[in-house]
Amino acid sequence: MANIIIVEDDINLATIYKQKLTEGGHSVTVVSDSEAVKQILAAKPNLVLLDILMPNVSGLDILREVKADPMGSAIPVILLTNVAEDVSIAKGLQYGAYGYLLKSETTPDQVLSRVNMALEETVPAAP
Amino acid sequence: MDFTTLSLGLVTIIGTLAGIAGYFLMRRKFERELENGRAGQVELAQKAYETAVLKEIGDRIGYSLDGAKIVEIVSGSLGKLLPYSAVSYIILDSKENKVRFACNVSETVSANFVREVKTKMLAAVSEMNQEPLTDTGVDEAISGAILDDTLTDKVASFFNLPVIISGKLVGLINVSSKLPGQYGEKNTEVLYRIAKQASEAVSRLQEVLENEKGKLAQAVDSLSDGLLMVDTKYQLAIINHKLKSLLGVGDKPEIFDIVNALSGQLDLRTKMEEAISRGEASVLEINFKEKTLQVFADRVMDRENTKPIGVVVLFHDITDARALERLKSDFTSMMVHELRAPLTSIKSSVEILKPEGQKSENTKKYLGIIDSTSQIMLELVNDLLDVAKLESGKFDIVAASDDLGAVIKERAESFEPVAAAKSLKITVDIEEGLPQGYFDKIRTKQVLNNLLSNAVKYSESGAITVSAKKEVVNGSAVDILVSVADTGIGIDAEDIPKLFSRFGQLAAGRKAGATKSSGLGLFIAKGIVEGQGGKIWCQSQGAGSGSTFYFTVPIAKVEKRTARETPIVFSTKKVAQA
Repeated sequence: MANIIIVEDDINLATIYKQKLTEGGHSVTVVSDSEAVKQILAAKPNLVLLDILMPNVSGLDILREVKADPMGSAIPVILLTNVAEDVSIAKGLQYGAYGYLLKSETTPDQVLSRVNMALEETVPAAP
Repeated sequence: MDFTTLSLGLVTIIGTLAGIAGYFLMRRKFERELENGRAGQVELAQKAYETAVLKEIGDRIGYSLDGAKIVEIVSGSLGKLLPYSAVSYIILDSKENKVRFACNVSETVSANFVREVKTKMLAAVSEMNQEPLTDTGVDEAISGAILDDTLTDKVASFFNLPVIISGKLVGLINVSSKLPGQYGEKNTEVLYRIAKQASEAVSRLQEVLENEKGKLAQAVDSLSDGLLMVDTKYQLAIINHKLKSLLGVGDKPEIFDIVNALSGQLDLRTKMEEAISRGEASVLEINFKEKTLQVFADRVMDRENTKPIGVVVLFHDITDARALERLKSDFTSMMVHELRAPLTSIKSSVEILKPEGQKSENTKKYLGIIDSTSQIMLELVNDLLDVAKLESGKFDIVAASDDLGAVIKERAESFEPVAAAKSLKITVDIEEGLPQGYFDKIRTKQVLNNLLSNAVKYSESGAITVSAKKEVVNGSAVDILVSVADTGIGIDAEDIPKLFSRFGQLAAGRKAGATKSSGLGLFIAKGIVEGQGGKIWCQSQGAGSGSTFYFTVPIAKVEKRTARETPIVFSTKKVAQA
């Protein structure tokens, strides 16, 4: 039972992920890219699913800002992308992302198990 | 452009010389013959001999290349036409800035005699050139009979024949004799006429050559590609306007200017040397001042195609073409990503609905259809992306040392369910002690997926055998040879070459009702196998008798036990459009 924030501009996918994670017993909020940093730092979720390619703000910029903040540095962030060889993935991992998922290759079930794995491995954020 | 040889001109001289001389001499012979019966017969013989000599001159000079040679040959043969004690020539070599004097003595004379001849010749040259010419610095070569300094003969008669080409004095031929009156008008008149005719002919020919040069220069200058040509000494022979402006060199550049302009991007000197010695045209791409240029270098052979006379280098601007290709490839990539998002949503939605969907047969069935068709589309999109990458040279292979046998076993196992569904048996045969291979695991799995899926698709019964063994060439193991053999519908020999092209799916396969696929699988497999440094091919006895697909994987050179290697990334070269 964790608090999860999803930052994803594709409404359909966001809906699907929210559905799956909710079924998995978590509490899920979907936020827009422009509000993401603010909302993440305010809510301090247990995990963030972060899309890289978004219209207003780049996922990598959001990641860096969150990680730079003492409030956000401990939150595990899983990057979402459609391109396996994207250099952004490597950059994201350097900026402190926990890992990444290829949206087109990952079923909702697999997303849930990945999220659960990450939650087990990391210390939950202080309430 | 600079043509330094006048071979055409000289062939004409000689042709003219021989022809005209022959004619005059024959006519003279006739006249004389009429005058005097018996004397005439002797004359006849003499003149026939002379004609033969002149013809010989013509033949020999046909192969000669420059004014100096001409002078040598003519003087050598002139001696046969006229009586002399010594025949000599002076050659004015303007290329090497030298004066050469050669003298052939037919009967013993004193050294003074020879010196006198030389002085008289130098005086004649000085007068003709309006420029004094001294004895110093003149190369001298004397041959023939021995000189005897006790003799005191003087030069009693002599005759100078100037050789003038295009208004320039090229050389002077001389015959001298101890005896007086040897070279009267009758003897020598014809020779003056020959010399005059010959030099006029050559001058006219030079005009024609200049014209042709001009036309060639115009043609070369109107080329839209940059062009340069050097001779065997790497001196610049031709450079056109386009190349001068491309490189930003001045109007009359030297070869160093060009090499410098290109340095850092292209080692022009080495490329030219390779072209001359290897005789293979080389092509490469360079980036120069924000342009992309294709450079062709090839050697130029002489007319008989026996030896190289220079190198021609062509510079072709492909900047725009490359930009267009990049645009196309970026567009394809963008479309691929745009397609993936909605397809992912479709598939994921189906996933979410599955539990509910089991409740109704209808829902279950149609959810299944949505699932499998959207999966097919996703795979098609993946294939398209791979093809775009192969064609733009951005297809990366990340190879490392790994256990190919294990990968094959794992893939074969994963196909067992589908094979069993068609009552097909899959057998795996990995050679004992198979060495480590050097390959990209993910991509090689992709190749195996494609071959296994094809084997299952196109077989109705029987067995599929996958095997791997060492390939030994000249005593050492070089590759691992993998084969996937089926007992399916087979492939006609004429269709095999098309298999690995972009449009490889054969009509026969489609008829067998196989699930629709992109037909790109084998094309991509080929890109992967070749990118890893291997080969892929197919054998089949024809329709109805099964097929076997082979591919090779290089053997890893370093044992896994030693320090962990950094995997090497191969970028495949641009794959030719198939």
